[in-house]
Amino acid sequence: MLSPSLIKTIGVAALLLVLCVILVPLSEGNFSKAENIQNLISRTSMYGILAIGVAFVIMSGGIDLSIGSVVCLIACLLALFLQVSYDANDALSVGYASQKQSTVIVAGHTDLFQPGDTVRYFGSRRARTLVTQVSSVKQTHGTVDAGSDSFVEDANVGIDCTIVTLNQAPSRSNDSGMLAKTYPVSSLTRVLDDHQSPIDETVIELAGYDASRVRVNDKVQLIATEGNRLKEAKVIAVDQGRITINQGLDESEQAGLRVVHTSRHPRMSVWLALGLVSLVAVGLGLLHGVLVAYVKLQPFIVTLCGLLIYRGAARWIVADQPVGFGGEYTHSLSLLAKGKLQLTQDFGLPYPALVLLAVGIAAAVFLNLTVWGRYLLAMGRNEEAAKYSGIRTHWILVAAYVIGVCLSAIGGVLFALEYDSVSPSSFGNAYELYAIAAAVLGGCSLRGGEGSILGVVLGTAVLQVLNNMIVLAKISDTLELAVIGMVILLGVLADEVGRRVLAALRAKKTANAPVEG
Amino acid sequence: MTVARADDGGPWLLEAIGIHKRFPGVRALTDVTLRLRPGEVLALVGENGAGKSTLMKILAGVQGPTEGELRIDGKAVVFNNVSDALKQGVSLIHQELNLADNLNVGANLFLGREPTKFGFIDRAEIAKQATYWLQQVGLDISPSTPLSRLSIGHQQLVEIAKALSVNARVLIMDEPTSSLSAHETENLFRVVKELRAKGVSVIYISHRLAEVEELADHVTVFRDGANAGELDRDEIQHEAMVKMMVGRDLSQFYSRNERRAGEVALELKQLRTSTWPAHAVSLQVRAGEVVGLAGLVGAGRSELLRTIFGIDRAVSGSLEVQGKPVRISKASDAIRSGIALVPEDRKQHGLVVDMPIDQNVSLASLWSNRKAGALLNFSKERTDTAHSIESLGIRTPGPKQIARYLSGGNQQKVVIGKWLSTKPRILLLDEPTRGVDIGAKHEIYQLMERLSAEGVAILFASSEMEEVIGLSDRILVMHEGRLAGELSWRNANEQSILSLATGQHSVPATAAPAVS
Repeated sequence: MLSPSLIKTIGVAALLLVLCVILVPLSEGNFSKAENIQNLISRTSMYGILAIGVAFVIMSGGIDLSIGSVVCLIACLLALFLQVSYDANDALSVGYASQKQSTVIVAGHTDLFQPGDTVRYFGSRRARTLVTQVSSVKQTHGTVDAGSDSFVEDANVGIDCTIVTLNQAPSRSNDSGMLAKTYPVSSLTRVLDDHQSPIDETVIELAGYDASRVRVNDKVQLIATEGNRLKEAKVIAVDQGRITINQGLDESEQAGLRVVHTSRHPRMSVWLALGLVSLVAVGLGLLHGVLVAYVKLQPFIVTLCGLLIYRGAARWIVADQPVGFGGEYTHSLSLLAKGKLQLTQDFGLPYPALVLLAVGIAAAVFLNLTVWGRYLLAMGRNEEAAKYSGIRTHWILVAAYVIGVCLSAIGGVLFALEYDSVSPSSFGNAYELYAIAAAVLGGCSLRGGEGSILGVVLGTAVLQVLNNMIVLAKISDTLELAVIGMVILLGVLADEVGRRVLAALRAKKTANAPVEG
Repeated sequence: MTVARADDGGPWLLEAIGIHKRFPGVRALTDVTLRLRPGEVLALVGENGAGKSTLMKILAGVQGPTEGELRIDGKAVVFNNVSDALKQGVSLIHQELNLADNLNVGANLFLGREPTKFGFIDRAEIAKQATYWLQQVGLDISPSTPLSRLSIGHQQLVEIAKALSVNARVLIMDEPTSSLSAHETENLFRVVKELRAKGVSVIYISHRLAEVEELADHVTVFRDGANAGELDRDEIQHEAMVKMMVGRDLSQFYSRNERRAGEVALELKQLRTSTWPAHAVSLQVRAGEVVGLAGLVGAGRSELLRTIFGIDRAVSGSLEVQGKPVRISKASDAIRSGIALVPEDRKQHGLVVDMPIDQNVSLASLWSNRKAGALLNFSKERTDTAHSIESLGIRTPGPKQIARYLSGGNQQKVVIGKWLSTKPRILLLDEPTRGVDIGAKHEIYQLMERLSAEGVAILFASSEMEEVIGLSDRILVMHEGRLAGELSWRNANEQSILSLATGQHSVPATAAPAVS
């Protein structure tokens, strides 16, 4: 006899197949293009991880409405933890700049700048930069008279400072900014590939700068004196004073080219950042689980509050500003979301699919082959009977919520890396509804104790294909939610009708059978 | 002997003719006939699961019959719902009372049909009418008394008054005395007799055959969802009723082998349950001994068993298993100590009804049978299930059958199978044969017999006197949370148990188990 959840899984698989078959002609072949399929797989994988997470909670007899907010919070935290700053070396912060006197004032006495040095001055309020030479340097004591836009030397008033007079006046008087020393490029060699054609890499050497201070992944600001053009390049190798950067420069550009070296300062390592967001996820899961299992609050209420709290917290943490990874990690962590395992010339399996595969297999094994999984299913169907059978239902319930939030967090990490930028007010909005819809479509009963991992993944795929259909078949995208809602309703209706037909058949069969003791 | 009451031309107030009722997997009633004269107390008796309650629900319009006809005053009627039945004057007094605790007596009497004046509830009219109806049932209380202040017995009378106030001609009382004190029972009888004198008919369902002897004008007996016999006023006798109910001699039904009690397997020392914290309970059960827990509903038997098993928290006191003190704060502790509990509510606590038989059977022993880490041991699950189906005689198409679709008796066997799979040395059973048909009941008795012969200590609670007397070596009677006394099976009878259970007098508990 087929189990009900297997029947449902077959049903949703059939639905997916039908949709795909319809879509190929409907989209005039656009559906089956490799790029579209890759995209679909990638999105299905990310949403699928969320759906598996909520499936565990649903199977425990609960619900998780906080998924979207957890995705957003985790994404914001990850972006924050992984933030990288670049600080210019041989640079000091400027206390005051005077346009009238052509000077910038640096706090304290310093001999970093000497007359003749070429410096870059950039104010904090404007990106506009000034590259010029130092004409004189004076260590002194005094104070600013803002009214007359001048610095007044006075041994009794003010602070110790160094006045750097420039050949060119700053465009406006600024109260802050940075003054950085620039170094000339002494040699420049374009890197050639095996066929002797130039590629976008150049080896440079700097005059007067200790190249051992340069590390891979640092950045250099390339300043062409002509027109003050500024380029930024990343250091990809350092070898005995020779610095390889990821910009293709011609030898002709060497003349007058100057460099400011900026050191890379990541806030923390990738592993520490992932560890911290995992910790946050486990903590939130424990919180949900304890509130539901021990305090006996309703899951709906607990996770509804979670939805509001985490969204608010995420917006507050990042001051409601979009945060992102700024092109960092493109060759490391971001591959997890954007990378592909190239299978053929055209088609590559997106890495998120591999993450989903790992999560899905682990979830299926947990659910179907371990004692805990069986406990979860039994508890979801009848918590009292589970308790009377010696199952520590509180623990199982807490575990379900921890699994749920952790999978939301994995989804959050992937979504954040995929989109690169996270706007805290909208990122992950309504993802919980997609996840719940996918789980229900995939055979989870909101009464609990029922569901299959494969079904949930297929349910997610159906939703993504529907979404795709709306775009490809040029259905007005304002109808998107309506179409998805109707398909879910039809799916659940078909399930309910099927269940009743089955029950009626069974009742008929047993009514005709002799009564047994 | 006629099996169903013959139609002698009447006049019949109420007739149910050829009633069939089927549920998925169960035939609850098969061609049942019941006839009721005006102004008659008709007792309906039968074992649990005989179909009495099902027929009563059909008569009161709660459910419709699958087949068959209802007649009032000789005219066929169809009850689609409870109010159809009420309109014809048929009213069911539920086992669990259907009153609103938070309202006063008058408001309860007129709930849903309050007399109004200018659209507002007319409280004066309610008070006037309520006083009249309360007098009819001999209740001398004010209609403004909050219902929650009344005893269960008085609440029941309020419910009867409510039925009368809607011109009930047929009152159906389902186990009305199950939670009443002796005094309250007497009072209820007086009211029933007065109502009969006024021409109201009563269908009276009870397990207490002594009550039936005192009250009934006629007895209809059900067995296994069918008519099993009829007794007129002059034929109503305890023996005759039991014979019809059971369908065989009691002496055969409860086979009693000589039992030899071993070491003390379970000992409670001054255990106080959270429901009855005022009374400490101490008792012993020996290996191979069967001890029955008797008492009225609410006497604290289930609570005691649940506390031993770790579902309820004990307030104080201690527990020893095989002479060693154990601390049980949750069911898994009890299981580890070799204790099993077949709970009272099979569908809520005993089974996960939507899971198949095999998953139910293995549920309590999954952890101890696990493989490497926490993997399920499917082969052990298969063999345990096969063994349960075989040795307990579970009638099923296969081990994957969903438990919901089994009959009550087979469901109970699955629960027992689950607990035997944990290899318990102390088996607690709470109403093990409730809602179980007669055949399965017999099998459960034999199983208890077999287990005790294997040295399992058995402590079981039951509301069926015959069962308690027939199976137990010793009978512990509970009354309001305390052990009111202990009886050996040799000197126990319904009378002696009932008087202990109603708290009329107390017999000092004998120190040693009375087993030869």
